[in-house]
Amino acid sequence: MRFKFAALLLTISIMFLFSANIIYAIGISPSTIKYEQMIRGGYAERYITISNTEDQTMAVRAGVEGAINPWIRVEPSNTTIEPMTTAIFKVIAEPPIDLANGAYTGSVLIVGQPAAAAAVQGTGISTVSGVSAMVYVSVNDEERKGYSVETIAAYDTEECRDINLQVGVRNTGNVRVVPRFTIDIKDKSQTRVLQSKEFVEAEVLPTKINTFLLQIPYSMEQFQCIPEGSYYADFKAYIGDQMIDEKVLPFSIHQRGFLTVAGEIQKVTAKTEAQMGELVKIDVLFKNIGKIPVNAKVKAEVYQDGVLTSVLESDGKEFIMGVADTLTVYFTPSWIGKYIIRITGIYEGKETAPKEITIDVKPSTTFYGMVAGGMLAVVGAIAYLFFKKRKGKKKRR
Amino acid sequence: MNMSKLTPILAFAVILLGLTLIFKGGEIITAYAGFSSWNSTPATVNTSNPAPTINNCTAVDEPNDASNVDQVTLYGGQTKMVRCLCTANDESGGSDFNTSGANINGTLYYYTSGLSWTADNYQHYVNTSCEIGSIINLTANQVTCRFPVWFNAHNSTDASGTTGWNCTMYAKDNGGNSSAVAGSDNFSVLPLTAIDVCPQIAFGTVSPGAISNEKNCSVSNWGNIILDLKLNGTDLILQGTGGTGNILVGAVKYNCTDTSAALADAWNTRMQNLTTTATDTYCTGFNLPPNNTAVGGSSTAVSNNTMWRVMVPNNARGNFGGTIWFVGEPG
Repeated sequence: MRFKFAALLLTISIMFLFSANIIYAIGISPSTIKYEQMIRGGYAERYITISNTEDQTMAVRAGVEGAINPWIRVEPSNTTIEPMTTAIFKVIAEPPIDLANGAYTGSVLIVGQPAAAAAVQGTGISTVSGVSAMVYVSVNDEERKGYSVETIAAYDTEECRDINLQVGVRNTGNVRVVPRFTIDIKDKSQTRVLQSKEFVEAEVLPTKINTFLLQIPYSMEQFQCIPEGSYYADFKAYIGDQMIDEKVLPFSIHQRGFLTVAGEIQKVTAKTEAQMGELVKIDVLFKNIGKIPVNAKVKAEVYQDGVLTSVLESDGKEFIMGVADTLTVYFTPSWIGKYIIRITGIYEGKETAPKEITIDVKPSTTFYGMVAGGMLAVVGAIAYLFFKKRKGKKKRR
Repeated sequence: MNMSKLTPILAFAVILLGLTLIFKGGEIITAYAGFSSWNSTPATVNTSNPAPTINNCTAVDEPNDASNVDQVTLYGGQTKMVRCLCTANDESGGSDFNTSGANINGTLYYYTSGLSWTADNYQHYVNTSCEIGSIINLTANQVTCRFPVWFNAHNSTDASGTTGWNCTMYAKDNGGNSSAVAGSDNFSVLPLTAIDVCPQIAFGTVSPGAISNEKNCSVSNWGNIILDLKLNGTDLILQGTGGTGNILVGAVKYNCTDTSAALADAWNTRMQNLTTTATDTYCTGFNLPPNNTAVGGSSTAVSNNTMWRVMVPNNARGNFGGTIWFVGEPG
């Protein structure tokens, strides 16, 4: 009896444990989207996050309802969201040039697709969940130019290496804006300017965030490297001549070799089967896992039957700390067979651990045509020689 | 030693001293004067361990779905990690935090709760064992507090012109000295509409020409704002073989706001016909509130029922199935 009671208690506990963690929901955030003071013919974008905590993959479609429908769109319009994951949709507003000034409302709908026909015994209905966000747009046709500094960081560096700042700016106006920055590198007392540089960056669309890497030369007067020590980067952001933000950021310059220089290959993507003569794209995801920016490229050694047949190299790319990006090499197999490609990341005189992929190269249709043509030519030649020989014999007789 | 041998050495030393006095005399005198001055007012050297300070704080969710470091996006029914990252400075050296005696704690709170509130999932989170991160320079360390923020955390839409939420951190170094002034950062929590619906509504066997019994379908609010509904559906199509007819979408009726009584005349007077296009006319009164009770542990949803009935036409025979979309919208 005691055993049965204990077993029952255990079962109930396990059921409770599991049921407490199972939550089936679809969510949208933010569920209110505002586009304020837009201009006709302007552009603005917002992001919504859809969370799927259902236990199955959701196929969803996005739509827009209300008077805003013709000039607001959602990207992507269809997608699938795996269980316990999220998807981000971009909601883009582009009021047409002939739209009247005023306030407009509508909604963005993200609804699930029914997975299958209703599996209901007797008469019944299957349910599908969806979520919507309210959209408010005001159009007043008054141009506003502005941006804000959303993120900024000054990174430690080493002697005789560039000083790096990363800045993220958001266009807070309703027209395109070209950010201008100045940076003064100052000593610890912040009285002496050792180096200065001005940056005029690419234009940023309204509501968008762009991130810029700002590199300041490491030298001061007479081309000497700024020595190791503590310094400040005096960052100023401008629209035209008007300063809109200033930040003073501490950073250190260390002796050469103090900061870790490290990179790794995170993923290699390429097709495993290809045809002879086909151009095969090999994407290599490289990540800077060190403490200073690196210029990296990848080298790919191509082996067939253990023999090195060619070496491929990608273009170089600058990687800020913590950033992963794709480097690409292209491989054109000239003959059939299995190729082993050994890929290595090269950065600052160092190499990553190699990663290998195999590509099975099969004959192409052109190859078959050429073989068939060749065989036909050989057969023709043999036949020609055969008949010529016979003709010669007949003549001699 | 022979005096005649010493004479040139002494002469050389005298000349050297003379030259030194000529070229460096000023400096020596200045240095001596400085020494006198320093000697007369001895410097005070504090050998105790100074208290740390906290600054340069940034609170951001991971990942930052809104692409805006001042905005936190929550997920339906789940927690979202919010990270508060600050710089802790200590004149004794950044390594003063990397010891067992050091401690960093942080509080994440909605402005109506204040800093010294009891922790709950709705508006106040506390972390008393935050991480001491990498050394920034000789005197500074990165320090990080992480908070798993529940789906029902107070949204910032009615935060009276402020961002609503704040992350505040304090540091204690190895010497037990706590930062007198905390570092902090403000951010807003975006409104989240999240819905969970009963998987199906089974009317069972209904005689041709009859109206089914009332069936409830539960709707749960897994977000942080009031939930309303938009409903639409399809015709109920004959399933399998051996039957006849269909049930049009309008033969399905619902009531979003009053599911308590199964009144005999409810079909005609209190229920709305389902349509193929979404409408928000009838369910705007659903007004399902978020879970705004301040509790610890896991957060739960607030649920309410919607009531459903179907009228089966006289010519319909067999099993019929259709689909209803329950679209949750901000109330």
